[in-house]
Amino acid sequence: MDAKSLLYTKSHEWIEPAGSKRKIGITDFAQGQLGDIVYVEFPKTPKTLAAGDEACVIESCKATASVYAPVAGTIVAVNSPLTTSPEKVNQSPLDEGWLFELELDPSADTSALLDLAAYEKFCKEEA
Amino acid sequence: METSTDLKRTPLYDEHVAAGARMVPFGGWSMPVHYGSQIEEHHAVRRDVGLFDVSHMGQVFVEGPQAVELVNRIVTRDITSLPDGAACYGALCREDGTLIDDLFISRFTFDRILIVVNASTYDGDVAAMKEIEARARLNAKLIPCAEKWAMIAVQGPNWKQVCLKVFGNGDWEQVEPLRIFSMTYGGHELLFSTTGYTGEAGVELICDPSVSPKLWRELIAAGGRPCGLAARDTLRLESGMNLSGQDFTATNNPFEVRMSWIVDLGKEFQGRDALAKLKETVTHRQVGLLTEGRRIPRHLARVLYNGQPVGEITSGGFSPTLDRPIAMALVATAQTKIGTELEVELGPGATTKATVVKLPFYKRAQ
Repeated sequence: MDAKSLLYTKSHEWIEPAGSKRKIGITDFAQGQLGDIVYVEFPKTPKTLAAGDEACVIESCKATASVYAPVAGTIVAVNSPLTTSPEKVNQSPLDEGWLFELELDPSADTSALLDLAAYEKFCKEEA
Repeated sequence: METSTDLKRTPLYDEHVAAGARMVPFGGWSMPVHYGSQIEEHHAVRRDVGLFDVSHMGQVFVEGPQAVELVNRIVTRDITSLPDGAACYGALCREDGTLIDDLFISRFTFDRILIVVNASTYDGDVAAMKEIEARARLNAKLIPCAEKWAMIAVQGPNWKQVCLKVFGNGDWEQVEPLRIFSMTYGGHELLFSTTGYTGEAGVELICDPSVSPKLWRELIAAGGRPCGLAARDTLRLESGMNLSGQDFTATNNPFEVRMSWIVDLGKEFQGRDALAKLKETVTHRQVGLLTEGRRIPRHLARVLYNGQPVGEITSGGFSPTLDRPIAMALVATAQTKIGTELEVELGPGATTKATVVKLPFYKRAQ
């Protein structure tokens, strides 16, 4: 994935910019903060979520982190190879390390999502 | 909150930054937490050899004809029969028997003894030791001198090969575990202490700060891999070693946290009378826990028995060697028997089963 084309949240998820089904993952900044990731706990699919609901849990050596739904929708697929190779989230957060695919709810509001420039600015302010 | 400008830097700070280490605050110091992957660093120590900058740790010398007597008043351990050149583990307690810190005691000669304490507790340790010194009125003097020493730990099965390349053949090759020995490096005294905090064989090199960057680079060139605090933490947790301020705090006594063996009640030291009574009334004890699944129990998570809280996790983490979560917890003595089935809270509404197991989780082959 090209980082420039993706949309972002302030809780450090990325989401594909278009389509009714969109892949979601965590950003390179987020994986760097977490350090070595050793487990990803996925929900049973399908699972319907409101924007901001917990979608899955990541365990790194350092901390437990929740990953949230950037917009309302239903998880229709998860990246199950991560169950045995969670380190792919560190190695390739935007590609092989994607987490789940969300079928957007018709009411889903994407207007609050950030573009790359706005997200990078946010990360700098937070650091 | 600590800001980066308040943090002290070790003499190796520039080396860590140049190597791309992620620096974090720890005990008032800016320290490398990892240089890329804490898991790979952990494996390097178990399988080969790792290097740790532990210059943040504190040194206190005790010197004078009655140094042994003064150290004996300070620490829980009876060091009367500790021979020249030997090191041992001990603790410093308050009058009420609670723990101030754990520490290492190394005897060069009867009148020169080194105590090494933790970084975050150094000031408090020195203050407590000075009070004991003032009361004892012995012919010996405490010399706190943390700023005068850098410290590098070389840990792992191949530590001697690395030292051979740096120091060449010498007396150090005969040094057994838990010994200390003074040598010269770069024109300064270097203390060669075969101690550590990883569960592997190795040495801690206590040296002049001015020569420490050169020594660090030579150890890397000789095959040592720089490792951060994160790997140090998982290594010590696998080995069932306590982290001061976390596995025990100001409310705990040595009997609760598997430190009975370093409490010698047959001599006078600060906290002895209280400890003699506390020994019979221990309500909580430290246990090892293996949890079900791959979620990781974290520090301060509640431990339950039949749904009722009976204690809390003091250290929890992912064990790279065992490839699973491990934890140490303080739990009510009734629930400390090996094999007891408990539960650990993972987050809101989430728990996992846990079994009490024997510590340590990992012990190296001799």
